[in-house]
Amino acid sequence: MITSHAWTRVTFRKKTTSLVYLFCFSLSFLTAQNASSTVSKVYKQLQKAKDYTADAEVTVSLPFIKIAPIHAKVFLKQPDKFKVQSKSIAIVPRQGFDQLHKILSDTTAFIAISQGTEVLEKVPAQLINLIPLRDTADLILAKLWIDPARNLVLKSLLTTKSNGTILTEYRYGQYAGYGLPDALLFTVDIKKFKIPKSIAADINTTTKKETGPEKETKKGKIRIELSNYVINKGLPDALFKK
Amino acid sequence: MSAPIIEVKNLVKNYGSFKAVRNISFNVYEGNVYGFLGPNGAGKSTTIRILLSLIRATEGEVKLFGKDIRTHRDEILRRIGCIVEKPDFYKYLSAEKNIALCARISGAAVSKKQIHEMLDFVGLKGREKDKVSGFSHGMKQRLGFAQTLIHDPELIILDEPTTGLDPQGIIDIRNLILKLKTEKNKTILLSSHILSEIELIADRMVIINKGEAIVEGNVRELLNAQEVIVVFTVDHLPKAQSVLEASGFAAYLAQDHELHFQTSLAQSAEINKVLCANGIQVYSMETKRKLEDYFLKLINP
Amino acid sequence: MFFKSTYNELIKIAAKPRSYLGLAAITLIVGLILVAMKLEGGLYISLLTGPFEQSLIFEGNVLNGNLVGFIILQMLIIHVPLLIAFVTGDLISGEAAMGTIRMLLTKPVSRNQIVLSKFLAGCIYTLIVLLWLAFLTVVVGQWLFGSGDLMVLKSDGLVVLQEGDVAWRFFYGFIVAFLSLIMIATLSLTLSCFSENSIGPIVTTMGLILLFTIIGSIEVPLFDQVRPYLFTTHMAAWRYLFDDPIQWKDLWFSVAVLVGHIAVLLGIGLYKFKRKDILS
Repeated sequence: MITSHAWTRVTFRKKTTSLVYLFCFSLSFLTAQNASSTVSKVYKQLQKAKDYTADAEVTVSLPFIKIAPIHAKVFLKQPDKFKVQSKSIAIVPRQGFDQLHKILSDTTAFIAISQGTEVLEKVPAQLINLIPLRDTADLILAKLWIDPARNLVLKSLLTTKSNGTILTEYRYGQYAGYGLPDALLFTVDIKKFKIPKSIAADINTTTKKETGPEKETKKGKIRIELSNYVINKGLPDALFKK
Repeated sequence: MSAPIIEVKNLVKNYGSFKAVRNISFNVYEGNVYGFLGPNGAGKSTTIRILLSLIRATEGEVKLFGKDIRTHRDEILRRIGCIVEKPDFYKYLSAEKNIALCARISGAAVSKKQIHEMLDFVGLKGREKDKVSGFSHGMKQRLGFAQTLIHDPELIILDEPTTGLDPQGIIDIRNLILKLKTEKNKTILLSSHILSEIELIADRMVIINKGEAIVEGNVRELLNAQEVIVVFTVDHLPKAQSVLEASGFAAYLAQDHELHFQTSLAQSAEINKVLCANGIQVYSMETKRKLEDYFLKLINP
Repeated sequence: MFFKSTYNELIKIAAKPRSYLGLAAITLIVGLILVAMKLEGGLYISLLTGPFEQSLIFEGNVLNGNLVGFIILQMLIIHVPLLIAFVTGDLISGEAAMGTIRMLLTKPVSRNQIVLSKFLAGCIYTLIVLLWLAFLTVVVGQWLFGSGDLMVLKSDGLVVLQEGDVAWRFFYGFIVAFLSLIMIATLSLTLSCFSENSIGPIVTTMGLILLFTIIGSIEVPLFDQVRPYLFTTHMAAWRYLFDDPIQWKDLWFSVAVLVGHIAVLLGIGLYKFKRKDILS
């Protein structure tokens, strides 16, 4: 026989548990709402620059590649037109500058979940995960570190099916109001370089002894410094044709 | 007599155990045509190649113009023109260009006009621009003379210059050589395996065989017309022999209807008379010089 | 007399049909490569950039005259030496076969001068061939494909040399390539001193190039001791100039090996020819 005292204890426990669940659900709902809101604000800021042109200084520090810093011009026109123009050979990440923009543009394609805050160079950043809602989406996962005070992405880690994982760090200056960075630092994965000897330019060398196991994938960095933005002056579509 | 232009002393050339030239010595004097006679393989070309520094001698001394060929090669060759065996040219070049090439490295400053004159001299007028690949053997031989003479050498060395020529070609070359001797006073060393060729042109000669000098001297003296070999071909050999022996003529060889006598021309007429007077039919009478006979035996053993 | 003899040699080389065969072959081969690159150059670029394409893209005029020129030079590494040997291998033995050696050696030019004048004429011919190759690759290549940075593919990565930094590399690269070709010319000329026909030296030169190239490419420790001193190892030394940073020590070593080969081979040729009895 259950005594009233015992019944009270059970009821209290059940109610507490329910409240906790309700609180968590509300919290997650609120958090999701909060993350989505943050992402929306970031996207809205990015939308201010319908198109832009900028000078870029590209410095590459990649394993297996030796290249001097080069000057280039970048062109972007929303929603999906992007071009790098350079007299020299420019090596840029495949994901480009507009990858984040493309991801954020379709709010029905992902759910944003807040993962708390992290301090990046003395700036408290909100860490938000974007999880794709569709299996067919190219995006696998996007992690964004966002400065909620300025609605700016400070860091992003994008993993896509087509282009692997790329970590991007953003530095802002006078064009922060448009969400346009002064500098981008990309960290990319480069697979171990193998090329048939018949087309390699090396001349005969002596047999090299293997010194130890080598990593199949190495990391490299590409730094792009942007300046002299010309924003919303109108860029013709023909400019982006190859 | 002036110093010899060519002095060869105790010349030896061995190829391993094979002795191509054995102790040959001779001298050639200025203005002379010197015959170098011998059958094929006697060592004539080897000797000439040594004179021209194409081959190194094993032993012996070779001097031209008083200088050792081994130490004064360039200086000596500047004064020599030569044809060694058959003259060869750059087939893809014209006659004119071949001569110009030769002249340039012979040390002679020669104009186009002089080249044309030389080609005219050797009988190749009008063929200056033709490629040598289209030349006949005779024309190449003439061109060989042109390249030999273009730099006006003092000494001319000709190694079998009439080889492969037709009878007219041989006559032309012979006349050319005589012209060089008489008109231009050149000293000529001429090698051949044809005695008649040497006899007609040379002043002095040496006969060599198997690398050795057999006989050397003045051509006229060596080919003394007074001493001849006479061969009579008769119908009845024994009768002819006995008739001639009775008259005091002894053959040194009697075989196959042939009687061989070593005698003078005058006596050969007498022998013929005796035979005819005794009813012996004389089918032929062949007269050869002693040296010619000897040489023919050398080349046809 | 040496320069007169050299002039004669140049006249002979210029008059021989085989001299033009080499130039025609180069024109044809380079022409074919230029057309192929114009039509299918993208495929080659994919080979270069393929290993990086998952993460990176290469913007700019990648397929440009500098790259095409470099590719052509790399492809012709075996062919051009053979075309040189085809002419220089005939310089002495061809005269022996033709019989003109007799005439030549009865002229007041020393045997050393004859060999050296043929060597110099061979060098001049080689220079003409190389200049023609340079014209076709660099000038015509630039005209067809424009200019730009040069992307050099090595077995362990890519080196991108900026456009302004390429011209001097090509210039000195051609000088080093010239040295490599002179080495081949000297080899075939020296072999020519030993032969009475022109086929022997040419075929022997080709055979040696192939044999040493094979030895050089087999990665066996046994050959490691020998490989650094084979001339074929250094025939592509011009490629050192297309690295960043340039391995100057390796480049100078290659130059020293090539110069050493030239000196030794020329010495052997001179010695042999001086003592040779001319029997033909």
